[in-house]
Amino acid sequence: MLHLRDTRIAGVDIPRKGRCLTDPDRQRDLDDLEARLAAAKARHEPDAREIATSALAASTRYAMEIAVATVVGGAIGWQLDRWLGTKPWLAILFLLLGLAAGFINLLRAVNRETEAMLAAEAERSAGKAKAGRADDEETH
Amino acid sequence: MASPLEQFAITRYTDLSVAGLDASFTNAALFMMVATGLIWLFMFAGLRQSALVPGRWQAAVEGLYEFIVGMVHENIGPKGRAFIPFIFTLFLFILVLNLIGLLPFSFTVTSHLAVTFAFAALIFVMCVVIGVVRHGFHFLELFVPPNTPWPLLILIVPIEIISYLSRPLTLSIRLFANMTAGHILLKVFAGFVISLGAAGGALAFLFPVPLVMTVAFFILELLVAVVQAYVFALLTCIYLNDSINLSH
Repeated sequence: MLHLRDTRIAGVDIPRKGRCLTDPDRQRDLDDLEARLAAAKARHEPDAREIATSALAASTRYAMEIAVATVVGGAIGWQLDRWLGTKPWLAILFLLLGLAAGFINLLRAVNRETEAMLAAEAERSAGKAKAGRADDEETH
Repeated sequence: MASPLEQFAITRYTDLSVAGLDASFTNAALFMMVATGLIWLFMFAGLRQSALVPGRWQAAVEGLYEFIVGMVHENIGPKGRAFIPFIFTLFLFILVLNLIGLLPFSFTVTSHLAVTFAFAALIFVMCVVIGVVRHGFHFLELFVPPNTPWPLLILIVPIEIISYLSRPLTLSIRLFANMTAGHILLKVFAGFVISLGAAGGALAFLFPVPLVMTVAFFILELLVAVVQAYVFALLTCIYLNDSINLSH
């Protein structure tokens, strides 16, 4: 997604919002190009390499969650035990709470990933529908 | 044979002590400066002449910037615009540190937990400060998921607090562990090439096997270097989003 800003070239403001070319005769060409771009984007299915890369990113992200949360929980409990003199009960309790926290982190990360995947899927099918409409107009 | 851990040793170039703290100029500091210089060169080459139709360098810089803008926009929304420079700097710095660590005879700064934890601790403190400044006491609602029945809160709130406190650790250990493990693997397999060659006899003919493995691992490590920089920046966005928009 491009975010264009207005620019000023040789003292003339050039609005870059929307289309740069204003020639009405070429408007049809531009619309046609836009439809073809949408169609090309819709055709792009993620290939094996893309899936593998995102899986690598995801797996290294999830692997740590449970272990670290458990250790943090255990460390908090151990320190509280030392302060309150309740050895070893709080350490055990917080170790379990940490484990639960790790699972919650993991679930949230997976949910976020699923949402992103569904959103990408929806965008692709919307692009496909748009491209289909453009094709219909051409044949009429 | 040299130990595969030798590559992580920090060597001092000049001893320096500031207010009783050891602030010597080390190889870690040197490679951070090299990374900063490379980033500066890259940006300078790209932005020397900002043309309407970008050249190659400008297209590279703009492409990277658009990538970060898209990531921040997707994860934080319009309120995140102020953090684009921070995320952009963080991503580029970690990416370049990871990548120059793969060159022979270089030093991987991100393979030190002290460095990655410094990044993560800064981000953690930043998230808490931004959350408290923007939302005051409402920031604590982050630890109370909406629509939780109150008897469960006794259990949920400590879990949420532990989950929040574990963030800087997961963030830093992930980057550090990936870089360290990859570099040790590379060194071990490269060492096999030499030991097989030195073994003599029929064994010497086996040396291409670890050589091929080393090349394959190197390609994987290139991917890991980029992916880990991306994951670090992405998670920073997600954590900032919690502080800015108070969402889970």
